[in-house]
Amino acid sequence: MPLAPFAGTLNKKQAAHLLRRATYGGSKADIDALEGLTAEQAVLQLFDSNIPDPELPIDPEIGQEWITTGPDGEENARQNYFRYWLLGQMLNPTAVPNDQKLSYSTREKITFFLHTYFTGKVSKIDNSRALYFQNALFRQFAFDSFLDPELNFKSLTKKICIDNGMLIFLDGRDNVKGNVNENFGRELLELYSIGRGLEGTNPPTDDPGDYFFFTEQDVRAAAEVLSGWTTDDDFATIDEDTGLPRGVVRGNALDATQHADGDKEFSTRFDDMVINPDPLLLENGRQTEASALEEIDQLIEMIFSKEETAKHLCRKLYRYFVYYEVDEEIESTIIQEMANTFVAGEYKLQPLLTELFTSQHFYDAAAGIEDDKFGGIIKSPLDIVAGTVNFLGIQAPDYQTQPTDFYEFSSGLLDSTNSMGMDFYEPFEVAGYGAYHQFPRYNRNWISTHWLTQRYSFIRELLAAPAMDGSDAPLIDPRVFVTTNFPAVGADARQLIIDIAPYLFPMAENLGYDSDGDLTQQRMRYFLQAFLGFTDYETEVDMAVAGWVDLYSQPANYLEASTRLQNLFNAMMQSPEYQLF
Amino acid sequence: MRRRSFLKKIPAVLGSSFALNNIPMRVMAEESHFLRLAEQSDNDRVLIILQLHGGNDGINMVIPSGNYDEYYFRRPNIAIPKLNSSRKLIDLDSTMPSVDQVGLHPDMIGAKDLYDRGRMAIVQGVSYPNNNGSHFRGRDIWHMGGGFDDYYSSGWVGRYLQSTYSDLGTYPDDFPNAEMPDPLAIEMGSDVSLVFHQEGNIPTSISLPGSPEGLANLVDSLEGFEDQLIDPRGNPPASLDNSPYSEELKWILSLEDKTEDYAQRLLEIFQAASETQATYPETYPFAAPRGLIRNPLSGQLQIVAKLLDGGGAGQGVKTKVFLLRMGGFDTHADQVESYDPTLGAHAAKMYHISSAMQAFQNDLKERGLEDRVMTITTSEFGRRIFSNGSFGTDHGTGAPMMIFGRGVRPGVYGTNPDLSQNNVAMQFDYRQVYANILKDWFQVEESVITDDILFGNFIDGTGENGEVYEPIPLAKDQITSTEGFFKDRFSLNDAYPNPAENHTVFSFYMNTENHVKLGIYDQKGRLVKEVLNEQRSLGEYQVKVDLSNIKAGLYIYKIEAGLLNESKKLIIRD
Repeated sequence: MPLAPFAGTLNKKQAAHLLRRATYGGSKADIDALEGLTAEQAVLQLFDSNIPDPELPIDPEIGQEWITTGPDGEENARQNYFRYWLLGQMLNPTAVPNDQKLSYSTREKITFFLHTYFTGKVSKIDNSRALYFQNALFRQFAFDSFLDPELNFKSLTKKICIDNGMLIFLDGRDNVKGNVNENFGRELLELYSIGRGLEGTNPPTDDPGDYFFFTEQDVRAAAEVLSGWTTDDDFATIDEDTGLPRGVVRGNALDATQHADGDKEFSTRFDDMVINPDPLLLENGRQTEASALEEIDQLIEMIFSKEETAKHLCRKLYRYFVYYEVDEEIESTIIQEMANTFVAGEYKLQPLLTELFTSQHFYDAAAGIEDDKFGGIIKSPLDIVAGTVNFLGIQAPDYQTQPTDFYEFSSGLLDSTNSMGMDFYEPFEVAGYGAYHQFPRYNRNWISTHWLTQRYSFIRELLAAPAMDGSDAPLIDPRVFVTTNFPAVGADARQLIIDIAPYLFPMAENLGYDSDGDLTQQRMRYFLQAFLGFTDYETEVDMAVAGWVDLYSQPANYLEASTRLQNLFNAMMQSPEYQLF
Repeated sequence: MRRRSFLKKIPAVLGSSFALNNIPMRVMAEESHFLRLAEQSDNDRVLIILQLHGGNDGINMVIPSGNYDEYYFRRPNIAIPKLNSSRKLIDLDSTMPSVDQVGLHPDMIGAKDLYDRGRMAIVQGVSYPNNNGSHFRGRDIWHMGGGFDDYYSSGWVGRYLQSTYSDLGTYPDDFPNAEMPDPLAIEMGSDVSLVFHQEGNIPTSISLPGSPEGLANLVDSLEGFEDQLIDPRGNPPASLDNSPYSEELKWILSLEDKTEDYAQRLLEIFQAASETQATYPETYPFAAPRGLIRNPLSGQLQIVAKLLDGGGAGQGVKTKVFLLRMGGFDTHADQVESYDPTLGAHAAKMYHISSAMQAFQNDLKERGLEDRVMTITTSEFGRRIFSNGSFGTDHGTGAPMMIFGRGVRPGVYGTNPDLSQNNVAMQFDYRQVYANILKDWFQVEESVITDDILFGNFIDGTGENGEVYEPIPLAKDQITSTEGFFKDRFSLNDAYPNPAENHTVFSFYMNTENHVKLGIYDQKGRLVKEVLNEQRSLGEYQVKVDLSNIKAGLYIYKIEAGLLNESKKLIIRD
């Protein structure tokens, strides 16, 4: 049974919620445009089959891309260009038409999800082209409804087994018969497919090495199935389904010399399945690339034949897009239903997400607020950085025509992301960023004493940053921002805060200065005081508010008005509320 | 067993005047419940947990040299040489039974020094039943202090701190306070691990990514920390209580509070402490992969030492537990260099730990803090006994733990693993180690350890598979001299005969290979006869010396060999 659909039309809070979760954040105009649509209409805009593929990253040293042309160049710098370029994709690149920006951003959000799922680290992969092609693979499968019908998340799992980046990352290229390296086989089972189940709910097993859904025997057998591959350092071996480079077998296509020969015997957790080569694919009894590939096919089919594999993915999606706490009730209702949809939908990701984003559960399932999803997730540093830049309408330099400027801009943002605790494309461990896997805190991992201060510091620095053209102008002119986005209320200090709040905060309805709404009246008064700079609310507020009318409307006071607005933005965005979405 | 063998050593210790006061104290402390209770209120001891993330290959760290042939046979492509190599394993302790002899990795000279000076213990075969081969589950289990099928949302240290400070209120609401003005725990780095979690509230630790200066300055200058005088700092309205939004908001607010509470205090303490007098290692001196050259622990350990110091007795932080993390132990491939198994990623890490811990202990000693600090290493699992084809090792189960500090009872606990197996078998449940440290080091009531912290009696109870635990006296409840341990391993024995006529026999014992200078000196300190001046490996030596050319009188014979520096009188008769 599919998830119950969201009824009616989206209000501002719901529209903003959808954009914050499904994309890297919209502008005020983007949010306004979705307001009043049904969830279905809104979500349709997020999945556009015609959005362009990104232009390749540029190496400024040679003034062109290096992905297709070859390896000569400063490799370390290029790995950084890759990371900057990838961040750039989340910041509404100039080449993307306006009406496709939200869809483009949605695709990036799913693409990044796939990186949090099938992890990788720049330092270990250490090859800019392998990183790029793996990312391109994720991007292709992010919108998998627009691919051939038989290509889906399951096929992606097969592709990732012999992806050059993954072969490096988890030592698949060192996995040879007779003396297998278990690294990838283990993480494939534990992290990338069937997983370990919902924390704390598996019945205990008394056999050492039995993890309920798979066993140490399966790790070893999977490693044997996966043995005998290595990277194609020229990236010349092209997968016919994806058109992207893949790894190759050791030996040659007709003699896979390092692929384990015999039966690969799995445990009772996989019904004692035995994987062995298809005799028709052998050459004179020897394993071939085709037979080794076909064994991987059998392996992934075997793993996906277990419903738990679908549930594992659905839990990951749920934690990424909806809420981190999956209890047994959510597990048996929402996760189960998502898994049903996923299996019934031929393991396609896109219809599953469409159903999720248009479901009642994604917004506020029942009466009361206890299961409201608004603001239940702590933003990742990436969401803070990209979401803030996108909301404030800061346009990054075009990376095709001004690559040097672009890299300077995006490297600054990535430094901030880093200092907030997300080492971009360099998660501490192979399970990926802690927020997406670390029981029991999940996204609370993004907040520590240190990282919180860095989040506040990012806002301060961004609001104080100079324009990119080297002039004295600020990067963000808050007064221009207000006159553009909130022209009707700019002069009304009280109303301005009330009107801005729903775009910044997940909970900002019924606001006022003399009674509590979603923010307390004290909180609203604090924002007003920080904005206008007075100390005693009762005696000074009217004077201050009247003074603002003057400041805002007189061109001579432009600078002071800007400073005051900057104070307001600092107060509102250096706040616990702004950390949530 | 262990305790009895320790008691046997008392006479040796009695020989030194300064142990006299200590012996009765020590015995009393072990036996007297009351003495322990009295101390509990005023325990200033600190535990440092050094987490080796990725699953450390214990067998190449503590090499089972007593069974070297099998060790070599099971992992020929990564085995550390024992003989005939300039870089070979360091024999740790020749006083141990030969089958249980171990060697340290050649880059662990610092650890060997700590061991010889009685400041290190090794616990063999630490694991838990049904050891989980997952990094993440494995680490969670070690942090939560549970079994393979437990899921606690709190960590063992969090529960320890919660119970220890329960008199002072609930964390975070009632902290800091006059009696506990400091963070209960500090995680070096930016994370907050499960180990510090308490049930249903923010973790009992704060994170410190570098020196406290950066943190305090930031907090001071940010608008986001200005609001607390004016409003309830973003506390959500009651109408939103119990919403997911409200829960997360309160979480962030509590951490925001703690950040502000502690940032200034840590800065003041840090600045009041004097600069370190110890020399911390900065880099690995040999070839290693990029990124592994710099010592990742030195900087963090220096900060810990300064925070504990604070400029004088009683001025440092009262923080009980520190966590330091070191990554990169997941050595499936290229654990060693193909051309030299003593070099590579793992070697660099062994060097970093060992050299940084040696410097840290020296630093603590200079600051007069050596008695207060104990360090343990943890890792989610050990690695397979056999190596794989890519100069690495896959996930295993049991592994040795290292414990450092003046409060440790030095030695090697347990025996070498059965190397014919795939994995290192469990000899000690990791919770036994925790439990005994809680009891002897932090002096926590056994009932509290059993009921509130580890949820089982891991001191002298019975395990789930019927195994009977015996207390492991890893930590001293009274800090005493380590002379007895040292004298068992480094000694210049009495010459015989003495008085001597034409010849005498000098004998000495040393536990570390060293250059040995042994000579006879007259009463003015002039060298009369050089007996030895050469490199000697560890072991016992007897040297017969011809005295016929020396005239009668009173002389001194003196040995200088690394840690062994001793002189004794020799009478020569006509």
